[in-house]
Amino acid sequence: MNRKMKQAQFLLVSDSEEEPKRLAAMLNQLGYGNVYQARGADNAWYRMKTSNVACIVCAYTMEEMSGLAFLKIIRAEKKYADIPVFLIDPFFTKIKVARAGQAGVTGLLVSPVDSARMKDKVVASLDAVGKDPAVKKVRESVERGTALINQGRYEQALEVFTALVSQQENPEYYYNIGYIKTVQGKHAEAIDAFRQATQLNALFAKAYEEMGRVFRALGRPKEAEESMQQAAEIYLDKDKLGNAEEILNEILDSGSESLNVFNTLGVIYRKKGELETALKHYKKALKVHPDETYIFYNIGRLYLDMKDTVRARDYFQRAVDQEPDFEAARQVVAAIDRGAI
Amino acid sequence: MKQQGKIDSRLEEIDQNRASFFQYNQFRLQQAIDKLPERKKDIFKKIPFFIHVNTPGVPGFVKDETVGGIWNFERSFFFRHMASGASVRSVTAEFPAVQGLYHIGSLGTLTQSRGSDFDYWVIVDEKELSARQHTFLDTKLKKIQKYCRDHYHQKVTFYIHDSGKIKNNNFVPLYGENLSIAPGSLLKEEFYRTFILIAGRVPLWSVLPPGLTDGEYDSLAGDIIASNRFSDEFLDLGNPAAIDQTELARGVLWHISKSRDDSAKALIKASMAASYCFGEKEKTGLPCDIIKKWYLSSNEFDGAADSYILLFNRVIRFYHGMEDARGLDLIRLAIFFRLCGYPFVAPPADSFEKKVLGKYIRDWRLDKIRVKKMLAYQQWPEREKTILEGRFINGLAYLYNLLNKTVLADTDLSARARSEVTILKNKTVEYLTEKPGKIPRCSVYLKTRRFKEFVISGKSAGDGETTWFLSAGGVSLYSHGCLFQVLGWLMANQLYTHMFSSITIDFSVKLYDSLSRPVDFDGFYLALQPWPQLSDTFFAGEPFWQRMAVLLVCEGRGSETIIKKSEFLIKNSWGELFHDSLAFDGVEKNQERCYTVAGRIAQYAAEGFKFFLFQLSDTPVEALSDTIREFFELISATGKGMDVNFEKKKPYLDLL
Repeated sequence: MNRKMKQAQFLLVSDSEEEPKRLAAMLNQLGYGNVYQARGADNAWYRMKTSNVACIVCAYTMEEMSGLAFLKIIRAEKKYADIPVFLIDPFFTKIKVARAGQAGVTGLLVSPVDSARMKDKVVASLDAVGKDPAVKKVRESVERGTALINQGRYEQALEVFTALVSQQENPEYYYNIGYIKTVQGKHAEAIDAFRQATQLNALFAKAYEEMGRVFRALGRPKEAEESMQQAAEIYLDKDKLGNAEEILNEILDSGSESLNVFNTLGVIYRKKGELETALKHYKKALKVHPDETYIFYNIGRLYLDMKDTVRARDYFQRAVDQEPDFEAARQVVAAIDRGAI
Repeated sequence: MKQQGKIDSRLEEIDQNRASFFQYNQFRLQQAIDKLPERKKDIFKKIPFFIHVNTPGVPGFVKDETVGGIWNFERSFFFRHMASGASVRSVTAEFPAVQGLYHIGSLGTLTQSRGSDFDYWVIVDEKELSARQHTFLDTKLKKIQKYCRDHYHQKVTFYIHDSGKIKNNNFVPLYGENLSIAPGSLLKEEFYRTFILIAGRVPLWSVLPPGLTDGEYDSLAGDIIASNRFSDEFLDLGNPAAIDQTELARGVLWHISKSRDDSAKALIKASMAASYCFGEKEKTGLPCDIIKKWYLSSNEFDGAADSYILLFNRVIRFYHGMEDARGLDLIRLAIFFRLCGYPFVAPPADSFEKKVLGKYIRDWRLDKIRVKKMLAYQQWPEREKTILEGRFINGLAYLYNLLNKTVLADTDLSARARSEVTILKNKTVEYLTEKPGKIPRCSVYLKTRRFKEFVISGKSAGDGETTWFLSAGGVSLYSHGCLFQVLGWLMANQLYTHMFSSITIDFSVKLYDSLSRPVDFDGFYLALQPWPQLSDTFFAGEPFWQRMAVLLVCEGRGSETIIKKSEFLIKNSWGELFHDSLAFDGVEKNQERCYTVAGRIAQYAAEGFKFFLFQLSDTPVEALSDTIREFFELISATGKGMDVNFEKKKPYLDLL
């Protein structure tokens, strides 16, 4: 071990005090004096920003932000793409292992950790930073695969991404595979790939969107609509109203007369402040399903924006009449009756 | 024969009592009307008529052929009043839905003030009404409430009860939210002590001799029914024989949580309930019986047996008996203010009230300077007003602690009673406890005033810090270094009225929503929902965070817009509103600041939690909101794996 390596800074993150103390003592024995301890992810993040941390060992379970979430945050920053991050936990389930792997963990440590393991795994990782051929190869592969897609060389790109997912599952890789398969007209395989992507990231709107288009190409309009509807709702939740509106109008252009599409368009227009247009869409939704509780609620919500509490109450009440246990609607009726709204 | 003679004599006595009751009731009613300001007087006289008729154009009209009506309405003062001004024909139904309409509370007593609410008890026979009639009545009463609120700014509450259930001390309202209710025996005593018959049948208890045991009451009620002498003129709502000792602690908590908008009133009422627990077990009988004894034996009324004088004297005796000098001083203060129309404190105009107040001032040896100072309450600075309320709240906390150590510590309660106690305890704790970051209360005085246009002005000091000043109609109301603290104070104290109030922010930069539109404060209000919790079920457990408004205070730095500071307004499931802030010391980059904001949001996030982003900025930057949302998703791991489900999916719910 050379002198330079011994100056490397370690960051130990945990809610508890005991475990980091033990790990710090071990690292000291191994010749590392620059060991910081941080309580919780917030403090750890601050330490990372203010110090030149070379390696992180973080508890998997922490109260405010889990180690897994912290790992995702770290990996979201280009600067920390390669920094070794170890998650430590007394018991790793299969799901924990899979999630940590997807999030880009360097290694998992089962506590209590002994000195030998610390040396073999954690200290050894310092040597590998920036030099690890596997890490380097992955990065290069992603870059090459993306370039190949852009050049229209789909078969070669597919090979690259298929090889990548065999090493590590990642929603983006699956999305790229789905995209390539779509271009190649291999619709069933494209759907499989998009489905894998959404299973890894349920809020991957773009994957739902493309999956919908592939379903449509396969002549399966119902699934196409559901998938694109899902994408629209994710965009809606993120206030990306333009994206959501575009997708829903695409569904309408394909000849759909769906309750959900009219309804979601109603919500989008309400959020945009185009209240009359919103009302028109809700009324179209009611034509499809005249007794749908949620549409009654949404119209009530719209009338509140229109500052017409009488009509709003009427629609919220209709929702309650239809579904007496609909607590959210009952609460609004109560708020109107008491003059809070 | 001898027995029959005795019954006849009793019935004769009832006949006389009925006449005395009507005389007394008329006196109370006239007192109430005389004291009402003109506009309130107008609506007070109309409300019974609105309930009785169902005509298009008349407030409370419901499109339904169902007949409502009040029993014997034509005999009431209110029919005569309406009939004298317009051609009103009889609309009496053969089987009117409403058996009796009564007003309960301070109207027609010493403590009636211009802020007094109208609280009615509407008594029906639940079994006799069809489901359609129930819906009709519920809808009609809600429409009348709304009309009174919208056109007269008058808060009106209708408590709809079944006569049979009331008789058995069951006061769960027939419609609406099942809020925690007062213990039956306390509520019944309060009803008999304060009610005014508006229209309908006379409560039987009012004409029976005072101080009857339950057995005597039932026997006499049976004789009256058997005699057929009074037809169905009376309504049997039961005998308030004794206050149920097991329910008293709950009664104190109920009074504390119910009168939260008026801490002086809450203190008096809670002390009254506590006096049954710890007082001398009043040898003179129930206060309602004392009132009855008085009106049955008097020919002229001057308010001498006003129900509130009895109440005041009782609570004063209670604190004397407890040898609690501080409590005594406090309750005197509360009584003084109550007699002077608190929170719109002024010397009483009525000669009887003047007399009563004068007597208390002499008895309590209040010096002129102190009286003058107390009477000038309306001119007190807001801070002094809140200090006074703080003292009343401390008095309530004292009673609560007294109960908590003694009566409430009794674990021998049924599951239902325990659950009710938990709800009431939590409501009380919410009201009495100060918590870090919780938005402070304003005075009752300020809360009762109705402001329309608010202005929030930002004044920047040399150090770059801004102080925010809230004012309305030229009156300075509140100030703070954080904009959301000021906005939260305005909302949490319900000074802002949805669709009535307006807010102008007078500052060099503007407030935008996450879609970069100037903020619509009605929308902001709906997003935050800063009203008190409407359902008691939330008080059955610990509070959890429900909603958050996040403010990004931005400033231009070169070509970039960076977040200078962040503020948070957070509402929990108990309806409490809190303020939090972030200053970003040592965090330079915008990306890191977004991460820090997302981390703070995630600290509060619970299931069903919603947050809304706002920017105070020269030019709003949507990307900042997007980045924060993305970080939040990463931190809270909301994007966990899930398959697309092609089963029938419910439409998107645009939840408020």
